[in-house]
Amino acid sequence: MLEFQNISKSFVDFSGQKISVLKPLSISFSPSEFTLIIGPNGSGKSTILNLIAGSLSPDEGHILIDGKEVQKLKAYQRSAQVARIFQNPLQGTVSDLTVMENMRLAYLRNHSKTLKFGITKSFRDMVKQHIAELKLGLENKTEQKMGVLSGGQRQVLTLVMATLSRAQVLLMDEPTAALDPKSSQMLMDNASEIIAKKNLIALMVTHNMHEAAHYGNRLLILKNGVIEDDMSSHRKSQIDVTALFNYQNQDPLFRNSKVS
Amino acid sequence: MDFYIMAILLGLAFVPMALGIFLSAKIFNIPDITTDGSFTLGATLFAVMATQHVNPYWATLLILPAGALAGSITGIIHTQLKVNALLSGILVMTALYSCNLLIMQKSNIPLVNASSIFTSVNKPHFIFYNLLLILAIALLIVLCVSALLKTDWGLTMRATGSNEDMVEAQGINPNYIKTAGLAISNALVALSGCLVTQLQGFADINMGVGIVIAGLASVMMADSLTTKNIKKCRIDSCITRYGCYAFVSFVYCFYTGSGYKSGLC
Repeated sequence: MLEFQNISKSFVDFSGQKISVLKPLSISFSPSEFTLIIGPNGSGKSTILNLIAGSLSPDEGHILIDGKEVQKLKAYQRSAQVARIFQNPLQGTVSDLTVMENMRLAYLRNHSKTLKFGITKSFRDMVKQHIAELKLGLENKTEQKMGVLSGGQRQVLTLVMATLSRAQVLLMDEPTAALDPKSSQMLMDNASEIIAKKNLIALMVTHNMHEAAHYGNRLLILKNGVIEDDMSSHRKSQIDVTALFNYQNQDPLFRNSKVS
Repeated sequence: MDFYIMAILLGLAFVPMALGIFLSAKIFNIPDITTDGSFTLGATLFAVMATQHVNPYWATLLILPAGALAGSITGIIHTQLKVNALLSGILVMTALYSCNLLIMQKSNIPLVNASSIFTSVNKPHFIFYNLLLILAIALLIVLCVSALLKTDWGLTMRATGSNEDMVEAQGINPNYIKTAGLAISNALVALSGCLVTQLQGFADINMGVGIVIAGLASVMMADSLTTKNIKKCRIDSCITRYGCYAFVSFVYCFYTGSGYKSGLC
């Protein structure tokens, strides 16, 4: 269970003016709930993810993971619970290390990093089994450098890394923005499957209305730091892409810009 | 002949320094100027201990924590006080210059009759003994560094240099890793300074000047060699890679060493 209690966040711009990005917000997310967050730029979507991950700290309020307050912990201290997939596939993996070494790093998230050779035969087998579940044939490429794989493959492997680390919360910040349609679909299908199987609390920010309509079981629409609509699984299943476009077009921010 | 043997010995004595620079420059992307100071630190500390008749093997070992201390100060200034890495290295290097003068009490200590881990020129078979000893030290250090980088901890170290964001997202404090890495790097550099002092028979306040340049040059030369040729030959094991670094630094230092030597003679 991930809870926001009266969380607010504001930034001070260069002229000294206070810009409120997130108005006091209370909301909770439960396991195996795949929440998609949509909204115009600057509505506070990424701020929500950054607050959970610990890259930003809230002005006021509490963030609770399993009833434990985490808002004062630094990003690396929270990482045992929170895994993250970035928009840029290069950001989530280390290009200079092999796939296996990247997996080992992810696995070490909840372990102490000691002076022992961690990549043993049993570890290799365990990782290969995890990667084989993707059915992409990547299990034969574990000794290759991460840098030679494509963006889509790297994003999917980041997803595997998130599951290896046994985090409870999975944050995805436009993970498909840099991918082609086929890779995006592969990533989204794998993500939905893994979230359901591992009972993860998943939050994903997207600008892709198709993804927002087809994936996940909860939809948040954010505007100016306020949640405008919170659609549960039932209501979400009744809407489609066109409905979402129409919904956003009623928004004065969107009215002038044509969405095709 | 003696001239070339001496240059080979000096070249091998620079191997730990080249691996130390390799750690800071290649793995952390920090050109660590502290090297210039910690190299001299190793030399001056050994010279003072040798003149006080400390066992040379113990003295050589004691150099390691001293170098590590210098490196960790650079690391702390860089990570905690958020000073630019290059500048914090320069600060510590400058500070070490005064420290080294304070340690020696003068600018030069000759070690004519002092004991060292190398046997003296007057004994028979001294060349083979010294060559074997320094080869063993160089080999041991290459093996240790390549093994360290393959452990779980070494893995986090390699990741820190190439993707700090990701490392932080994986629950690793990059500041701690950076400080520890700089400590290890400078411990190796100080060891190298101590070996060079024992070979040349004196410690001098200016012997560290330009060491970081020699180290960076050998790392760059080895780098272009490994990325081009090793991939072609499909030899990509860690040990060959670091061995190659050591070898190239040796060749480079042989070249500088012979120049160094001819300047002295």
